[in-house]
Amino acid sequence: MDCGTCDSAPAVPIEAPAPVNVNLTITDKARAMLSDAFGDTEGQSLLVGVLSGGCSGYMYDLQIIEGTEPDCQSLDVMGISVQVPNASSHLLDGIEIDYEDRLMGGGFKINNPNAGSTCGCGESFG
Amino acid sequence: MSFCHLRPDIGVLFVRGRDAVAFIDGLSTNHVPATPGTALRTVFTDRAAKVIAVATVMVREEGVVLLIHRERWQTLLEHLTPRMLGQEVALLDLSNRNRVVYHTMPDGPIEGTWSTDDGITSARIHNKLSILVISGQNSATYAQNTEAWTAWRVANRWPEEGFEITSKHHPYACGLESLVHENKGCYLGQEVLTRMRSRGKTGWVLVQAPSDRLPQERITTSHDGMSLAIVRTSEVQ
Repeated sequence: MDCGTCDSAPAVPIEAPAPVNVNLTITDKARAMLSDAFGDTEGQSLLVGVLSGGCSGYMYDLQIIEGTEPDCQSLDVMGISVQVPNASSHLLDGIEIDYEDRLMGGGFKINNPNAGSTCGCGESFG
Repeated sequence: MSFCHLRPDIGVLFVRGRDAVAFIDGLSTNHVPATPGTALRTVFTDRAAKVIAVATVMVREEGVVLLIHRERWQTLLEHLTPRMLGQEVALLDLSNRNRVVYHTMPDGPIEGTWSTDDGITSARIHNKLSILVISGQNSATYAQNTEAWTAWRVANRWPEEGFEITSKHHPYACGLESLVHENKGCYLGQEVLTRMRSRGKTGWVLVQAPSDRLPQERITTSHDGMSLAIVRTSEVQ
């Protein structure tokens, strides 16, 4: 296999969606849980991203990070610092981050108006 | 009898980057381990578990090489590219530099690995078949061997794009059941396939039988009195 010249191989053209200025909301319950998670540590943010995969084709990626990530939009939502990657901003505009306090299947939930379908566990959408 | 069959209808797509293995594994039916040297086949399916494309996968240090039928090439790209989402993945078309050759051989173990010798990469992904990827300058000695390949396909119940493998079928219906990993977790179409398997109801199945014992409208490929056909599971005796 001729892979030694991959650097000069033609890249498949990709039409990436244009970044969207994301508006999102966080419910009071989710905000309280995030404030607890952040604690007293300064400079922490909630990274809300999307990865490929899952039962519906896209998976939410929630992380608490320190500092800022490149190619991300930085938002302040009711005192919570949130970062959203530009690459997945078109899938996240208008979402609501909620928290469900249940023994089974509880945790952070994302209500996404861009999702045509959602996996039963809520982690994946399409 | 061993023979080679040049496949100009199969392209070579290099999915390059740190996230390449996870990207391909998360969107297809078989488990693609992050182990360089691994070779296997997998199926990309849609939400309804219908086949988008079947790929031979070769895992490398720098990413994953996919061998894709050109008939499904564009559809697969339209499936993959919206899901790249800023992950460290790039798609490179290596089709013009490499040729794909199918090499049938006597029964032997499926190795699940690939290796390269003198510009020829070989992956034994079936007990009677190796897939060769040959850098452009070395491929002149290979030719298409369509009739022998059709005979081999029928004898070995090997589904092919455009015949058995179409976007109307799910993997269990078109002879790709061995490419559906039972425990790998979520991917697009997984819930549908898991439900089919757990209930034992796949609806349709690819069979090999004498042509005169099959419903003629269900036959997909024939050779010398034997055929492949996709029939309802209730029709299988």
